[in-house]
Amino acid sequence: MPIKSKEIKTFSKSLIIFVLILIALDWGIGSLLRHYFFTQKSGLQHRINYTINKTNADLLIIGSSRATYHYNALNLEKGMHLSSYNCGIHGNGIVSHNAVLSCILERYIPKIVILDINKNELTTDTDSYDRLSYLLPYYKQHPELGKVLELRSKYEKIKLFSQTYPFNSLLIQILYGNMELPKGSEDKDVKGYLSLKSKWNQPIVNDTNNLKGILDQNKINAFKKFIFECKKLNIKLYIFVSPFYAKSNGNGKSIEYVSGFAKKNDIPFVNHYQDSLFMNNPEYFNDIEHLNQQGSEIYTESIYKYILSDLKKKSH
Amino acid sequence: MLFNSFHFVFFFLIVTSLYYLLPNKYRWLLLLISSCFFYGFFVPIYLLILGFTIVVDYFAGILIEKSVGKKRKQFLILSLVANIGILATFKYYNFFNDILTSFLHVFDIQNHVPYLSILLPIGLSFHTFQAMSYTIEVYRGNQKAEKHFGLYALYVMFFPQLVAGPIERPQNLIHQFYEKHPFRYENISIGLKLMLWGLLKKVVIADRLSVYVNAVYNNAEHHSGVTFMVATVFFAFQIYCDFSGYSDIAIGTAKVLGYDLMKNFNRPYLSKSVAEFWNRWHISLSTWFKDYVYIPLGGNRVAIKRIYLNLLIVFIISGFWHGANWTYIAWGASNGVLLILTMSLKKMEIPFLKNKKLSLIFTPISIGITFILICLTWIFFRANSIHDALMIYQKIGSLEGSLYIPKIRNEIFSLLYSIVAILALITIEVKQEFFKEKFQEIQNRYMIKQISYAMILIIIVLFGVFDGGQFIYFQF
Repeated sequence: MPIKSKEIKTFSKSLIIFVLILIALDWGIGSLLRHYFFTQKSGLQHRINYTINKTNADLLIIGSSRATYHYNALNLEKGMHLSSYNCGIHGNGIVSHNAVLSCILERYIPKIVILDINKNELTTDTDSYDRLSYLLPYYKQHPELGKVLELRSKYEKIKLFSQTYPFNSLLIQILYGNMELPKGSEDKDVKGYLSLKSKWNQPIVNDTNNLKGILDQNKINAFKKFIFECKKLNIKLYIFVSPFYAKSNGNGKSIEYVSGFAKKNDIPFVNHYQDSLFMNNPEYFNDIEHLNQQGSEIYTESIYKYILSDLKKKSH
Repeated sequence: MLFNSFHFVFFFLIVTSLYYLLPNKYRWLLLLISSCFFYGFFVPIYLLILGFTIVVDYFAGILIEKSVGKKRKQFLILSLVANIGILATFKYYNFFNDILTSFLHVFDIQNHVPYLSILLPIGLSFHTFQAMSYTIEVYRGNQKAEKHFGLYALYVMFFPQLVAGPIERPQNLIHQFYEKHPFRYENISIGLKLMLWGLLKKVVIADRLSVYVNAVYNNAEHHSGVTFMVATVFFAFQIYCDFSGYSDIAIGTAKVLGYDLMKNFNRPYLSKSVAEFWNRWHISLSTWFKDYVYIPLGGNRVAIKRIYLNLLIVFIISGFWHGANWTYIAWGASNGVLLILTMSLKKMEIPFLKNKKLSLIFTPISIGITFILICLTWIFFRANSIHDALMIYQKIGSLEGSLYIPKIRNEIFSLLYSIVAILALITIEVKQEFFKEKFQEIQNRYMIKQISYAMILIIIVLFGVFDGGQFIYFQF
């Protein structure tokens, strides 16, 4: 049946007008959000902005929320006499860590990198790629992130034609990040480090999750790339598994893999997963997975003492 | 294929373009092939199940029409047994086996009947009911048996409403496949607008609310009564936006192609009574049960006690239709009881309720009470078990404890988006219901319309949850 040309004309006219309005709104709102996204003064996105675009510290701590809460960057700085910044990003793993490192390395080369590994760092996880969404606003500045973002979905690059899409679900966060937070607010970081105040008072649990799971090839590749990149640029890399408040019969596939790979490549690796100093002291924890401020100070001290002694050993 | 996926966007664009480019006589074939592809995208093997019921009902329809007397009924029964048999096997087999296990356990006997480990075909209850309505209508003489096998198959498989309705009647849909559907700007515009609105309800409201609802309902023992109150209200909006969102996309998709599907939701949470709610919620299913179960049971022509019993039966079956779980049966039964109570109250003829001057006060009060009652029944629907549901009722009754607020900042923000979205939805629906004429002139301005559609799309992009979450009703 021939399509009536009048109907087609009306449709085409409306479609063009709609698309033009859409592009204008998308561009306008997207640009506004982009501007305020990068002017945030506090919060998670502010720390990520600082990590990716500003930090030039000699020592960087890279990891998940466990890194954020466990490594007091100021204490490391004082103990090691090296400028430090904690680049921990909540809810993210090695694929994200590798992407962040590659963005940083475009600007400068740090002297030391601490990589905090989670007990399930390299195993498959249903939503770990979804969490890479925090990298969306940086795609424009760092197009190399495209490959990482495609792990979320193969249509990610198409979605990124939109100027507003990178800021999906971030409006309130951007508003909040642009507000002046009161002193002592739990979102106020000290060189990227955040502290937790509560004390855990529950009995220790048996952790069986770490023994399950299948190794994820994308995560293994990201881990290897992270290590080779540091080696290539002569960055001193230290890999740690920081403490958990849970008992386990084994280290699990991720820790075993990391341990073996680090040994093969002569990378210092220390596993505090079942460290009795912490497991016997629930008061060092805020919850099962995170140390509180007291715990993190003790832990940070042990870390810089270890690194200093290792550096001393190597210099002789 | 999910409506809220990029696959569907490409699929829809290709099918719609080809549809309007093809001559009218080949369009049914395009729609049928597209529908097979759409359904096969989930689990291709399940096309065989659909194929089986289509073949059975196609021939049953013809045989019913040709036969007279008892034979007519026999062919109808054969068709119904085939359809219900499929439903019973795939959806209810393990449930009944569970009951058998519990029964035998009382006598210390082990049940050796094996369990089926198969995935429930998506939308099975929907297309089975649609297929059943065809043979019943042919039997009743309201619909001629369809001789064109392809068109009959398309009636069951028409992709916009294949997996979650609206459950269409043959009288409304089949004749449309014979009609010419020229390219009309108006159809495209209305259809796309509905699709956009449906997508907004699904990805901006329903999927966001699901995060909080799941966190609470999946850890029932750890949460307080106050938390359950909030989570249940959230669930009420989640399921409404999820399902009515799907229906809007389905109706919109069909409209773009020139087809009119029946309205499935009519602002149900603005109902002034439970009876009214059921006239506004999942209309295609409610009317299906009315036409094919309630009326054959005697409808309103029997004694009042029998009416109440019939209502209870219908609602229990309706609950069971939703899922092979005691929670759904309890949900259906609780709605039936509420409806009976409402009808009993209505019979009392309380005079001041009829005072029109007082309706300004009574309307919002009745809407509020109805909403609370419906929310209370949703607890059965959402709870993971009857045990959980009873515990939740107990907790809500005591109202102790504090409100669960997520610890992670982003989740708190997500909750804020949900609340704003619910408030916006209520505002829009109240305006549509009570102030339809207001601002009509501004709304109808061409540019205002274009800007608002573009803005809906921006809101979807900015606040939507894009992990391709399933529609709740797919599991039915």
